[in-house]
This record gives sequence, C-alpha cells and structure tokens, in this order.
Amino acid sequence: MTSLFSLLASALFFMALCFGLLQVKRWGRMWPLAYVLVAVLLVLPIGHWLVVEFVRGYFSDLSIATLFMCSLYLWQVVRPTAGKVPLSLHWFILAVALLLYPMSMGLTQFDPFAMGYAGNHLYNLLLLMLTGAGLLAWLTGLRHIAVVIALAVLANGFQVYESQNLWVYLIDPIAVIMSLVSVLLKGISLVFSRYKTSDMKNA
Amino acid sequence: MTKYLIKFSVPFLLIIGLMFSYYLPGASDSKFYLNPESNILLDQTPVFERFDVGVDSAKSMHSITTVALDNGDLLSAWYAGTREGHTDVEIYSSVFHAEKKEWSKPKSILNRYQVSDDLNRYIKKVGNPVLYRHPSGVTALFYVSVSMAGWATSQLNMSLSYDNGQSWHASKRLVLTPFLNISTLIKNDVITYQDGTIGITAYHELLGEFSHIVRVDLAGNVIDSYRITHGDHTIQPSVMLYDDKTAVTMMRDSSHDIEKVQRAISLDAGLTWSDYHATKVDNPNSAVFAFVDEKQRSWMLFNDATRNTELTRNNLGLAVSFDQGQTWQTKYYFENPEKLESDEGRYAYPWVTKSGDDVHIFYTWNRELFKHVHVNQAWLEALL
Repeated sequence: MTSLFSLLASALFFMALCFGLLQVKRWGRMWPLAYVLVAVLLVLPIGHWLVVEFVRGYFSDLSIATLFMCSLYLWQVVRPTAGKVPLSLHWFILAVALLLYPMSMGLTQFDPFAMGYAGNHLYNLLLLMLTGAGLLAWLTGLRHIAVVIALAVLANGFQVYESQNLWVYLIDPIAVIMSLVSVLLKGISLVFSRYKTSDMKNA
Repeated sequence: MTKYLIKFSVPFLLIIGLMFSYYLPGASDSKFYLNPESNILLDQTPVFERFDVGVDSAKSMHSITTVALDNGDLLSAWYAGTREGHTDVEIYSSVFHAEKKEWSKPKSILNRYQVSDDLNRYIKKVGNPVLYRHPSGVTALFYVSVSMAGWATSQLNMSLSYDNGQSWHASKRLVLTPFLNISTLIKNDVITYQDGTIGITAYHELLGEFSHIVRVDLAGNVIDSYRITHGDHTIQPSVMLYDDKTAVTMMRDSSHDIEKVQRAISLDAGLTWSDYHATKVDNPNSAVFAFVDEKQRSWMLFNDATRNTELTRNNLGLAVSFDQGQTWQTKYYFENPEKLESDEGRYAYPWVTKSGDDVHIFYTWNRELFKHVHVNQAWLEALL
C-alpha cells in the first residue's frame, strides 16, 4: 500500500514536471492530450523498470508540500483562472527548511529530524507545535499552509509511506527548491517593476 | 451547512491526524541487551587457525560480515562483482561448517533487480551488507542500495531470514534522512536493546560526515535516531558494550588532517554521547572494528598507518585497551607485521564475530578474497 501511494505521488510530480517543461498551459484546449502522453510515458518500461520507478528511485517519497504545489499547478492547466501557490506557503516551506536541513545534515549534535520519529521524546512536542501552527494558519487566513500541515499530519498518522518520520510527510528538498525559485522570481519581478515605474516617472 | 463543512474541514483533518499520529507505536528508553556470558575454560589452549573465504568467486569482493548460528556454524555475507559499485555487484553468502572446518560455496542472495522489485523503484547498485542475529533467532540483513550516484547517496534497507540465512524475505527501506532519504550507510556490528529493538550503527556521508544509532524494531519500523557525533569526519562507528548502559564507540576518521581513530562514550544506553576525541591510534581514513572480550578488555582491528605512507592499508593490527578505549597498545599484526613498504597488499574492512570463547576475525584481502582467522580467549590472553 505504501508503494502505491508513493508511486502515485511520483507520477503526480513527474506529470507536473513534464507539463512545466512542455509548457502545457499554452496548449489551450489540447491539454487532455498532454495528460494522456505523460500517463503513457510514466508506465513506459526502460530495461527492468518503469519510468515512474525511476522517478521514485531518484526522488524518494514526495512530501505533501511538493504534492500540493504540483496539484495546484496541474489544476491551473485545466482551469487557467485557478489561484497560484501563495507566497506565504513558499516562505513557510523555506523557514521550515532552514530549521531542519542544516542541523539534520550534521551541523549540530542536536538532530531535529529525529524529533519526527514516534519514539523520540520530543515527538509529541513537534506534533503539538505543527498542529498549533496549522490551526493558527487556518484562523489567520493562511489556508494553504493549514491544508499542507493538516494533510502532512494526517498522512503521518496513517503512515501512507514507508517513512515513520513526520518531517518526511511535511517537506522535502523539491518543495524547498520550488519555493526558493518562486521567491527569487517574485523578488526579481518586484525589482524590475520598481525600476520600470521609476523610469516611467522620469520620462 | 456546506459552508460550515468547508470552514471546519481542515481543523477536523488536523485533529484526526494529530490523534492517529499521537498513537503511533514508539519505544520507551531501554537498556542494552548483553549476550549471556560464556563459561571460559581456564586451562584451554590457544587456538589460531586461518581460512580463506570466497576464493575465485568474483573479480572483486569487499565488506564481509558474519554472525554465529545456534549450532556453532557461521553465516557470512559480502558484496562482489566486476568492481566496487558496478551494476553487476550482488550480495553473496556462505556458511562455515564448524565441524568440517570449511566454507560452503558462495551463493548470491540479493542483486539490484530483486531489491528493485521489493522496493518498487530503480536501484543502481547494492553494497555494504551487515548481518545481525536477534536473540529471538531471527537473522537480519542490513545493506545499502544506491539509485542516484556514489555511495554518499546510499539508502539503508533491511531484510529478514527465519531459516538461518537460507532464504530472505522482501526488503524494506528505512527512511533516515530528510534529504531524499540519501546518505545513510552501515559498516559495523549492530546492537540490541532489552526491549528487543535493534540499534543500527549507521553513518552519514553527504555534506556532514557523522555517526548515529538508528533504532528499529524487527518489522523495520524506525523508532528513533541517536546522534553519536556531528560535523564532517567521524564515520563507521564500531560500538563496544560494557554493561547495560555504558557503550564506547571507535570511529574511522575521514578528514585529511587528524588521521587518528576517534572515540566517544555513552553512559545512558546510547541516547546521548560525549564529545568525540582523537585517540593516539593512527587511522589513514580506513575502517576499524572494536570488540570487548570475555574479561571486559577492549580490542580493536585497524590499519596502523597514516596518510604519509603511500600504501595506507598494507598492514592490519590488533590493539588492546584496558581503559575502555582511551589508550591502546598494539599487540599483533595479522598482515605485514614488519610494516614493509614493499607490501602492496590492501587489508581492509575488518569484522569480528564472537561465539562463546571463540573469536572469528575477518578482513578483505586485496579485494580478491577474505581472510578468516579463528582465535580464542586463551590466544588473546597470551598476547597480553
């Protein structure tokens, strides 16, 4: 069962990746064709493996944050008027990554990743903090963050992947890269728009 | 109504998730499980026997691991193929029949295709097996698999055997890092806790290079992880247990400037560890294996060299410590005792299996075969 969930998640990610590379948003009414093409590609055998198994091999089990962003992107292809991933979610992912990755990769003796295992004495604290953050996000209107946290905690509760670690369900490096790129692009566009505005005023 | 459903759906899911997450099985703090003491015969004569393992079975082989079976036989595993990291590398197994004093013909027990099928993902190569015998009689095989690039992108897997290694159940992948679950490796012996859980002596090699104990149950569920060290140069921990709370780990130094075996101690069954310190034992970035004998003395196998010499692994020493690994005295060399520069051999990846009074020492010999040296407690005593 965990393999099924993970393979479906890998398929979703690969689909979003292909749609981005193929610029399916510009295909107009031809978008169903893209879905069919990528679906066929996913189950294409290469040697002993299917393409989707390569995706799972390389990228491991994908977090709810990644799946949420990929899902929104794919939904935009179907409904171009649908909302984009808000910047607040990107900042949330980057903040969590900043807390988690450097220490987990060996910077300190304290390992925040270990907190995500149910046997760790700080596990309940992490669980409560995340639940609190989720409720707070919901109450303050940051609903995308609340949805990601709720689904991550739920997926951890049901252990839908092989992982027994709560962090794995919340974020992964792909979500971090996507958020980093989005924030940088937003920053660049802001700088350019100010530059343009000041140019127009001077003209 | 629908409006209220939408309004409270996310908090509701959050609370449901919280409840299920809260009741996930954990583990209480536990003590180390120590093997029952054997009855040492005080008048036993020293034993020293040598055997070769895996001769002519593959072009290149490495990383042997062994467990003692209940009938006194030994079960071994290693990886072999055209060369290290090649896609044709498989994990092989052989049994040492104690009565006949001979090794069986090696047989393949795992290859990357089987692992791919078990884990439903692409696997590029396999390596570093570690066998473990649980007090319940189940044999576990831990090994690394790689999907991406080099060993630094390894993932750790586990497989069980209920018939002394004759057949193996489907592998399970252990999720141990937040970074695409890559860079957890294993080399040395695994420890047991009194509640039946297992402490895998693992290490990490991407960005940071450090050691940790990963606690899992027999079903392959990861319960917790205890960091032994942090930073970027202490890998391949070899843990020695002195009592149910005290453990010392000796570690390979992977830096370029220290070149000494590193040591850390835990007084709370591995939950927390002291700062690590370099001992005076030379270490040319090569694996060590430490064990405790029947009289609580510590022993360590290591390559006695620094990187100043051209061939850093052309000897293999055995040292003893009377102060839980703080100071060491080299007592014997299994290879190249004169430390001749002309010896172009590579003797690496030592492993020790204790079975009562018997001590079985293994190491890779030029990647061509493995040496198996059988000694006993009396032989160790005679070295002192």
